[in-house]
Amino acid sequence: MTPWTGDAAPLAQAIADYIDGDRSQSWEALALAVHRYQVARDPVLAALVERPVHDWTDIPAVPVGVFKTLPVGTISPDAPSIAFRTSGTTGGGRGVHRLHSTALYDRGAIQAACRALGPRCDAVVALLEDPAHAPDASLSHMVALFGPVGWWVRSGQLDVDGANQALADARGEVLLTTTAFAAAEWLMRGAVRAPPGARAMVTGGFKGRIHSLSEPELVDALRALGFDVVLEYGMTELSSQLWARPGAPYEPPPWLRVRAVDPVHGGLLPPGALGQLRFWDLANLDGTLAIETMDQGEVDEAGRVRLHGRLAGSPPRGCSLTVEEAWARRG
Amino acid sequence: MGPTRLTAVQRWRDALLQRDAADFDTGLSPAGARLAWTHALSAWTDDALAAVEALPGAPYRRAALITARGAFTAPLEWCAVLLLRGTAVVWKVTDGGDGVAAVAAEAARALGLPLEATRSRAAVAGADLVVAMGADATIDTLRATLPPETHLLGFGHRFSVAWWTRLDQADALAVDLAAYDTRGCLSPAAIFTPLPLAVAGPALAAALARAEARWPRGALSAVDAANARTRRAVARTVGQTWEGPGWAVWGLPLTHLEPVTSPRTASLYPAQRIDDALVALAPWRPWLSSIGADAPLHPEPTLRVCPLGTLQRPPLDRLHDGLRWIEHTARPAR
Repeated sequence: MTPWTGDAAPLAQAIADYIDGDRSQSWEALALAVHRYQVARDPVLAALVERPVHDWTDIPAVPVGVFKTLPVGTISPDAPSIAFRTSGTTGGGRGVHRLHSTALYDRGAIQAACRALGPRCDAVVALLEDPAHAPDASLSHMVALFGPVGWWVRSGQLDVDGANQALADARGEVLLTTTAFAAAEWLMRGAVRAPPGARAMVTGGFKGRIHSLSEPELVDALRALGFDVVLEYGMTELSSQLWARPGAPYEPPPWLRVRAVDPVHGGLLPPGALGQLRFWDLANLDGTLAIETMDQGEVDEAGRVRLHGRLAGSPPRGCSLTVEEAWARRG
Repeated sequence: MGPTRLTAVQRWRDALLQRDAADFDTGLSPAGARLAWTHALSAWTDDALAAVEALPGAPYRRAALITARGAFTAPLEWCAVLLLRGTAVVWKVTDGGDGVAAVAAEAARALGLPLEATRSRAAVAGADLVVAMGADATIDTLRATLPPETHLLGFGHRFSVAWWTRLDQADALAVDLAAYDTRGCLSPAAIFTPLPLAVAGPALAAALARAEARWPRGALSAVDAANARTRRAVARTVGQTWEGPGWAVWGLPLTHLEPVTSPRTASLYPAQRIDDALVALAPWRPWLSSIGADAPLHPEPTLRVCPLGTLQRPPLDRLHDGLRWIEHTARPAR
């Protein structure tokens, strides 16, 4: 794992080994080591440490909204880095995830995808922006790792004819990769049938959008075209992804832990309880290990996650500006 | 001969004042609900109502009042003024927000005042005036669906701020923050002060603790709590925090200004002059509703300026989002 130097180099190597299946160091020990590394370099994380960290559950989770306001992570904004940015669809500012290298990200993404999709992919038809045009899009970066890709979204515009032709021409193990939003548009504007045995990876995309299809409807529509559908959950602020079959819980990879917390008090909830989701991602070495999302779900005994969308709306919330409105109006 | 409309509305106010606001589903604590209720109704003094009745203009025949789940008392003053001017009112409520409306309508009808509460989407049918409060997008959608002859008054989400220069005004400011648990558009989303934060922060914290003891904070929603943790993280990183059970003060640099309220939370920003604050607020200026201040201000005429402690106790005759709203509750005199 050469991209890292100094204290980070052995840590990166240990994480890479863990991703590869080496359990000579426990997940808990690695999590605490990553935290010690990060807290010495990240003022945001350091400001959130209010008591001694003895256990991985003591590690403070950085609320995902903070990424829109402050540089979170071990890399200062003026240092050379690779930057992934959030889309801003949930309101205003774009969060930034800075990395020295995508080596850990890539290693984890490939392994997790292989578990969900199988090891071979001959052609990827991506209803996504080409990373050459959108180098800060982490989703495009991940999909580029899966095999030879054709990109069929340019400047936000979906090229339906191009995608359809690419699917018609594709041979071997074919994978359609798409956001839910792009898939809905593709279906509405004339999607073609899937090549034999083709799979479709659908991810997120409902957040902050007005949409005509629910997730089950979208899955049914893609299945009707002949696709074997697999769902993916990822966040720009993370370096690892969860995968699921429709109707089944999402499986985190072994180096990523998810827990539900009481959204009001922030305390960990028992398995099966509905709560706000927090992630502890070993692969997030350059960013921050623990992240508090604005999503809610249930985490079972095995650490698998059933998503329940965004946190429930407030009771009488008043007539003041929402966070999203404030961001949007600032421009 | 029955009572005059003025007398009927005065009696209606008195009947409402007899109700215990703690019985309504407001999300506030019982004491918090009573504070908001008293604040809202105390503005309807006999003189203020008489002044409204004396305004020129021809009444609308029927008004539909459409409210999102905002400040639970906000529609009441509209009902009072419209009823006073001789307009029949239909109050369209959203799910869960019908307790106040039902009580208000029942009390009004008992006095012969034509106020109806409904959940029906048909509330706007036949109305020649529609008053809508909610998100800008909702109001735009409504505007597109109304017949051209129907007059629409739309009030979107807004925010207010405070200019605080005297430590002895901390308790007044705390009342503005405590009322409606800081959720209303008249709650100070940002407090600007020339006082040193190291002095102002603890003083306001103490005042908020006193307010919490008197009017405890109500329930926190998941989103409120999560958003509060986000802002708290920012404050701990780039500013200062003073916290207690049910309240918080965050001292933040002006560069991190975000005019968004969080229940019982004061976002305190250093500013040597009010003009510094207004410059920082420039991106959001069209959505600024009111400024509570303990020093003389000379802002633009479209802004409501009031003493600290009265931000959430607006008089009937005031600017509502830049509009002298009571004048618009009747057709212009020909």
